[in-house]
Formats: sequence, structure tokens, C-alpha cells
Amino acid sequence: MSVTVELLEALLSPAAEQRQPAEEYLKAMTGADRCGAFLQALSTIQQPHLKQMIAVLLRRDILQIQQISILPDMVDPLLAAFGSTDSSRRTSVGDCLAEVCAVLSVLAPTECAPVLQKILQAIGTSVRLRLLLRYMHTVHNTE
Amino acid sequence: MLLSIIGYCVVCFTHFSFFFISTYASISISISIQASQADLPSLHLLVSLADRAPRAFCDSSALQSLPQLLTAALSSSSSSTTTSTGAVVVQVLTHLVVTAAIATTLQDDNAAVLASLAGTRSREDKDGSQWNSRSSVDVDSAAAQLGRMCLPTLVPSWLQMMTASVALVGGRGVETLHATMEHLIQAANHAPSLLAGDAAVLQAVAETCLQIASQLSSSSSHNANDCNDDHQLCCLSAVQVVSSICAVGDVKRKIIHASLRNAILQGNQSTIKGAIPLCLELVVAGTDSDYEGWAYDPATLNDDGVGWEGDEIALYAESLLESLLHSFGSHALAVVLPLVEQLLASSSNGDFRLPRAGLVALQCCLVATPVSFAPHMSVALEAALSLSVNSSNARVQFQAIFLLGVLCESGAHKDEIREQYGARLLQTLAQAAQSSCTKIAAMACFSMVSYCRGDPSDKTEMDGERFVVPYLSNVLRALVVGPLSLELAHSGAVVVKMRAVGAVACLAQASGPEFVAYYADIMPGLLACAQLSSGGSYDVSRLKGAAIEAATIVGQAIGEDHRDVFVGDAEQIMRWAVPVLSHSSAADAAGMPLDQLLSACARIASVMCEDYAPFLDAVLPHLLRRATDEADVSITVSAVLCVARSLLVLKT
Repeated sequence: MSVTVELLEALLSPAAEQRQPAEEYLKAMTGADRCGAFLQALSTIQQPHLKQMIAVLLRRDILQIQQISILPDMVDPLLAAFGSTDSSRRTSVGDCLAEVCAVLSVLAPTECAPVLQKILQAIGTSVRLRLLLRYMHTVHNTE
Repeated sequence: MLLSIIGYCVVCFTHFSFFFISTYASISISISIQASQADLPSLHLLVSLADRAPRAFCDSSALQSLPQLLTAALSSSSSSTTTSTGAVVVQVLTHLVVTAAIATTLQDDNAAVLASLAGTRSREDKDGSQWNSRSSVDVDSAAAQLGRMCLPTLVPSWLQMMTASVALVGGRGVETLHATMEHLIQAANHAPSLLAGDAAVLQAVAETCLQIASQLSSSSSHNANDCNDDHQLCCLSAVQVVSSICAVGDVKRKIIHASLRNAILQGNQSTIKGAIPLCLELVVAGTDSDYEGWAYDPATLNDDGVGWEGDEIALYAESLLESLLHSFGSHALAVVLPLVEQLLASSSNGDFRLPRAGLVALQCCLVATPVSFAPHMSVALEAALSLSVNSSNARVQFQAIFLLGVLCESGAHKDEIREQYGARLLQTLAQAAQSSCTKIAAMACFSMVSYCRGDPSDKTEMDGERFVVPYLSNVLRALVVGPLSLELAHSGAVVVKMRAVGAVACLAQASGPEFVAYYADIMPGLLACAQLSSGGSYDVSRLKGAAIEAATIVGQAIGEDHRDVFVGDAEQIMRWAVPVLSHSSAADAAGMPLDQLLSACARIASVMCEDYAPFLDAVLPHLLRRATDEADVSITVSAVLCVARSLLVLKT
């Protein structure tokens, strides 16, 4: 089961006959499957408004997830999305990362520390890369 | 050839830059976000991590890296602080520091809980402050260290933000500054050690916030109206930072020294105003200037006229003034009173907001510092009495009448106030009860109740014979001629009548048997109100309930010696009440709260004694049902006892 552009557009539709089947499709998935599908879609779907919607729905699922064990595995794809999307969507993806840490800190504190450290290092790395890219771009423009 | 040399230079330069950046990055700690523009999503993520996973955040490298992060981000973006993006960076950095401080405070509290559970630490620390971070400041805490290391870097940026926001047309810059102040208020409430753990930091924060508030206050007076509210709100939020941190127990008792206190209250430079002058300025400026619209709006059950929708800024300033008075007591009073004198002296210059602000300030002084204010009660009374009569502005009159009520409720010098001012008080209130402005009339009746009852927490009875009976005739005449004669169709009349009926009941209760001389003038009107047709109107049904309640209070007040005077009217009330009690639908149709009706029945029972027997069958089931209810309903013991007493008399 996967999350596609058509499914997400149907969720946003004002017409109930389009929206309800899409909602039923998502509800039929387990929480873990839905998280996996959202992560996959986050990396493949390019439309910014759909990426933001995925992040919002994913965050809700992270809060309600019952299989805590999958949370650490979600960090890497989320970090990849955090580093690659545009600024306004990155905040939504960042909220998902924070939610992962929040749930782990309460339900599995020993797993939270390494996850948090990974996030912190990735923030620094992604910013350094951005700086470099920005500098390279500036240098290129001055040639 | 030339192109190849240039290309070679570019490549070398690029590699050098890459090496430089990598080296810098490797020297920096893991979250060093140095940038000409700090990465906002990353900063937001750090804030979210600190907020949602405080324990893990405190244990990570992030907390230790914060000071360097701040320095790097701000030093590299110092020239852009005046832009909207730069301002947002400063705001998010402030949020990050505050959230981190709160996280460390929670950690400290949790550690204390665990230690006490393990028996390694007593539940109260040596200074008894471990369990309430809102009243204590720990100079050795992680939050205090964070404050020492981070705030000296941030404070200048707030001033730059303020300069930029004042220069910008429109709200965006002020919004960001306002959000920054909100974060600091949160710090003052939940992690005061961040702001007050170091005396120098506290002074810098307080002076900067007051400087921000001063300049915003000045700019709001020059702005167009659509920017005014934003600037004023931001100004007050800056003042609230100071008032919140000063409200912390340890801060006001141990940390703030005299010169800082004076600087906070009065200001110390021509450009930095004190918190009290700022609050008073905004009580004036934040009051809705449309006094005619206020007066035209009728009194309602839910709105007694004190909180008016156009006065939000003034009400906010008033609450901060009260907080400052509460924190600093007589020191603040010494600053407020001269300013009040100036405001009251300007009552003739045409701006009603000035004397009104003076009256509001007097009320705040009385509520916040009742003991220190006691020597000034007579001055406040004279001012209120004078303005309630002499001012031509309805809002000033209302505020004066309201202040008179608050003064009457004051426990200090209760008898002296009534001894010296009783006649003038009641005369003024009686006159105001006949005002064409329904809000003033309703408030005058409220204040009469305050005069009769005094301090609600004071259980001693007032000497009605000295302080009420001599003036009863004039007061009752004014009530009968004024509010009690209003046509119900008149806008706001129902509410005014209800308040007037309540005032009559209190006057009767205070007068006791002396009220019998006025019984014949008052009781027919009360009974007529009790039998009004409510026609589905909630307000009218409340009026009916109030009238029945007042009638029974009057009957009980005149005492057993005059029982015969009330018995006939009591039977009439019971003949109306029994069908209402017997049929629940009738009770619903009457719209009168059942508890109010039962209390009235209990009072009647206390007067009628054995003559109450015919009505017991209708009343007792309701009383017993209420008595066995588990809901949050209370029934007075006296009500049951009154009925039980009647039963005993009947048996004998």
C-alpha cells in the first residue's frame, strides 16, 4: 500500500465522494505501514504543498504510534527530507523529528539520546553543506 | 592563457574556501550554525527538541553548545538584525534559550523529586524553595548559567529589533518583538533563574525591556491608529517581562536592590521611563475614547460596565500596575500617588481618560496594597465622591461609583469610613442610582450593597442602626422614584431593577426591625415584580427570583416582633410558590432557579413557624431531595433547620 499524489489530492478535495474513499484507504493501513508509506512519499513526491501535508499527517501518526521500535528507523529518511526540502516545509519535517524524540524520551529514553545526537549532528552537517553550496554559488556568480 | 590562469585561481580559491569552511566547521561544535543567515528551520527544530524532549536535550551536547551557537549566529548576522529576517532569527534564538532554560528547570525539579523519593534529600530544600520554581531563584542552576552566558549576547539584539520595528510601517517588526517579549515572560514565570540568576543580567534585562517599552510608547503616540494597538500591546508585553520577574518571591525579596527598584518603578534617564508611568500612560491611552457609545450601551447581567471591549489595552496596563504594586508595596505606592494626583487634577482639561485613570490607579492601590494604602483612604474617598457628582462624563462617574463600592468593601477602617462619610456616600449613591445611564445606576446599587455588607470575608455585622437607618428614608425614596419605577421596556431597565431590588434587600437586612416603617412602601412593589409574566425572557425571570428573594429577606429582617406585618404577604408568596414547586414544568416556565425559591421558602418558614405547616408537603420533598443529592449543589443548613423547627412546633 502506498501514498500517491492522487491519494493526497483526493484527501484535499472538497467533494466528499472523492475525499471519503481516500480517508478509508488510509484508515485501513496500520500505523506502522502508514508511517512507512508517508516516508516513502516524502522522498518521492515533489509538490511542496503535498510534502507539507505528508509531514503533518506523519506527525499525527508518530504521536499515536504503538510500535515504538520503528521510530529510530524513521530518523534517517526524515533527516534526508529535512535537508532537501525548501525552508517552509523543513519546519514541518522538523516537527516530525521533534515528535519522534518526544515519544522516545517518554517511552524509550535510552533510545532517545543517540537519536537526538544524530539529529543534532545532521543539522550541523546540512547547514555546513548549505553554506558551501551558497558560497560556491556566490563565487560562480562573480566569475 | 589568461583564461586558464583565471580558471586556476578560481579553483585554488574555491579549494581554499572549502578547506577554510571545513576547518571552521570542524573547530565548531556539532551544532554550530554559523551563517550570515542562521538556518531558521534548524533553529525551530532545536526549540522543538528542547520543548518536547527536555530531558534528552539537557543531557545532549546541544545545551552546552548554546552559548557558542548564539555568539556565532548573532555575530555573523549582526548587520541583518534590523531586517525582518534578522529579527526573526533573534526571536527564535531567544525562544531557544528560554525553552532550554525551562527544560533544565524541569530537570532540576524532577531530580529533586527522585532524590526525595530515594530519601537522599528532604522534601524541602534548606531554603524551602525547591518545589516551587516560580518563587525561587537558584544562582547555581543550569538556567542561571545559561542566563549568564547567553543573555548578555542577546540583550543588545532586542534593542536593535526594537529600533527596526519602530522604523517599519505596519506590524511585522512589532509582531516579532512582541513574540520575543512573550518568550521572556514565559521565562520569568517558569524559569526565573534564567533572567535573575545573575544581578547584572537582571539589571540589563530590566533596563532593556523598559527602554523598549519607553520607545514604543513614544512611537505609538505618533503613529496612525492602525499601528497604535500593536505598539501599545508590545510596549505592555515588555513591561510585563519586568513585572513578572519582579513578582518572583526571591527576586523581590533578595535580589533587587534599591537603585534597581527605583529604576524599574520610576525610570532613571530621560529616555527610559519607569514601569509605573508607562502603565498609567497606557491606562489613559488604551481607554476607548467613545464614552457616548459606552454610555448608550445598556447594562446587562453579564456586563457590569467594568470591562469594555474597547479597553483591552487599558485593562492590560491596569493588571500590570496592580502586579507592580503587589510586588513592591509601599515603594510603588510612593511613585503612584503623585502621578494620581496629577491625573485627578486634570479633570477639567476635557480628556476624561485622565481622571478616570487616576481613579483606576487608586483602585489598584487599594486592592494590591490595602495596608499601606489605609492612610490614604480619606483622600481616595474625597476624590471619588467629588468626581461622581461633579464630573459630567459618564465613564468618570461610573469609575468613581465603582471605586466607592471597592472602598466600602475594604476591611480597613470600616466603621470610621461609615462614621465620617456615611451620609455623603449614601446620598451620592442614591443620586447615582437615578442616573439615566443604566450602567451607572446599576453600579450605584451594587455599591450600596457593598456599603451594607462591607468586606465579604469579614463576618462581623455592620452597625446598621448607626450607619444605615439615619439615611434610610432618602435612599429608599431615591430607589423607588428611580430604578424601581423604570419601565421594563426601557433598555437595560430589567438589570437596573434587579440590582435595585438587591440593594433594598441589603438595606433591610442592615436596618433590621427599623425597616418596618418602610415596609408598606416597598413590599407591594416587590410582590408585583415577583408576579411579572416573564414571557420567556431570562432577564425577567431572574428579576422575579430576585424580587421574591428580596421580599423574604425584608420579611425576615423586620423580625419576629413584626411577624404579623409579613405573614399575609408570606402566604401570598407561598400560594404562588407551591404550584411552581409541585409541577416541574411550571418551575421551568417560571424560569426561577429552584434553589433560590427554596431559600425563600426557608426564610418564610423561619417567620411563619407553625403557620407554615400547610406548605410543608410541597416544600419538604424538594429539600430532602437536594439534601441527598451528590452533585455540586449546596443547601443551607438553616433552610432545613427552619423547616424542622416548624415541624417540631407542629408536633407540640
